[in-house]
Amino acid sequence: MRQLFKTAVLLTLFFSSIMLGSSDNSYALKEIRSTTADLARTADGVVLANCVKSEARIDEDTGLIFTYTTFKVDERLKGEYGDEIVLRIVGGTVGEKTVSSPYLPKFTANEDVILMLGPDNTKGYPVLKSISRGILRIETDESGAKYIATPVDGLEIINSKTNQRVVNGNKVNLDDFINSINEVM
Amino acid sequence: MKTRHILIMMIILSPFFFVQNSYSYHTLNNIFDSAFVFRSLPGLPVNFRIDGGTLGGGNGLAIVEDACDEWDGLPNIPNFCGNLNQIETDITSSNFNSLTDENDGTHDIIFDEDGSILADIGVPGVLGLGLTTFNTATGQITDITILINGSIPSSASADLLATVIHEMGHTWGFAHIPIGGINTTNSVNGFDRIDPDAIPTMYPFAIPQDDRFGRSLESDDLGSALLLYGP
Repeated sequence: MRQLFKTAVLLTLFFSSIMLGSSDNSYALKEIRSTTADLARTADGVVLANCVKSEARIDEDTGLIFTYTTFKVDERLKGEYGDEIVLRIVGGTVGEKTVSSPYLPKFTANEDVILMLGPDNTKGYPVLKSISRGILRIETDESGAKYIATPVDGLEIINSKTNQRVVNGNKVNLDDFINSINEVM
Repeated sequence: MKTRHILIMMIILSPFFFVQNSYSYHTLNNIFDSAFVFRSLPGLPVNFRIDGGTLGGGNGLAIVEDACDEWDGLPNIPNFCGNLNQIETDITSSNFNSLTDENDGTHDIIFDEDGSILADIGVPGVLGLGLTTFNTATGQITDITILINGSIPSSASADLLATVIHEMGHTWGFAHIPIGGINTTNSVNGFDRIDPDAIPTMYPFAIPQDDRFGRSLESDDLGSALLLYGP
């Protein structure tokens, strides 16, 4: 009976993890929540970028593992940036050693994102304005149209072609989003 | 079907019926070599080295002691905190690299008074960060570094003590608990708002009504603790 109960608890945890992972509640760390519009207003930079590669390396000084993610900058919506930026964020796995804090962001090669950035840190790397909400993931629907797959809030979405307000904001078209965010920056 | 089979089926299926607001507890875990690995400490209590600097202009050690008292007050769990050894040196972004060694097994609590250490490691603006180094295959936590951001003044909207308790929870191996999300997003129709006093401490955002509610551990937090460290 005890073994069966353990199995049941493990299965429960497994299914819970799947559902938690698929919800939009998996935010990072503990921080004060900001809306998308607030972040765009206060960010030093906003770029549309494509992830080139992500690589974890051990820092010799501290023993911490950092993940270096290189992005090709496709469009500068705010701020001055070169053709490429690199985010250096603590966390990652090298061999059997992992340094982690829950929900530090991960990127996959060829992924399109909008990054909301703060000022460069003293190491010379740009940083995310918000670790949980400063990344807007972009996906492509069946028709080939790109949309923002991350929840957007606090922002009135205006259709980039008609200039009309978009009522259904659950799946925000990328062009509409850029059109709208330019209004608040 | 026997009663025990019904009971087991109910436990397995319960997440599907209570998906929006009744997660019971969450632990950090990963899959390694197709095996489900819990992340946890090899033993309790944990001895900490405490930054000699200040936190929010005040005595950070007192906040850490209060946070430890909260975790150590959980029933049927060994004490989480052991010795709290405050060093004389103020750890800042200029000496962080030389004073931190994630391989030495020393567990650190660092008061990042101006937030610059957090910015340097790529995680700016958060209230706190609980970093663990662990063996990916076994899940055994070998080193802890907790960083608390002192650049955000402690207030009802972002409480330092609640933050320290929260980050400690991560380093024990506990994940975020999303209960409380409907208090802030209004995105879930048909569910009552949760009494902010009942929002678990492992909820990932400052509690908007009053973050000091995060100073007390709730039953969901206890559930995580019992799973990993209970009798």
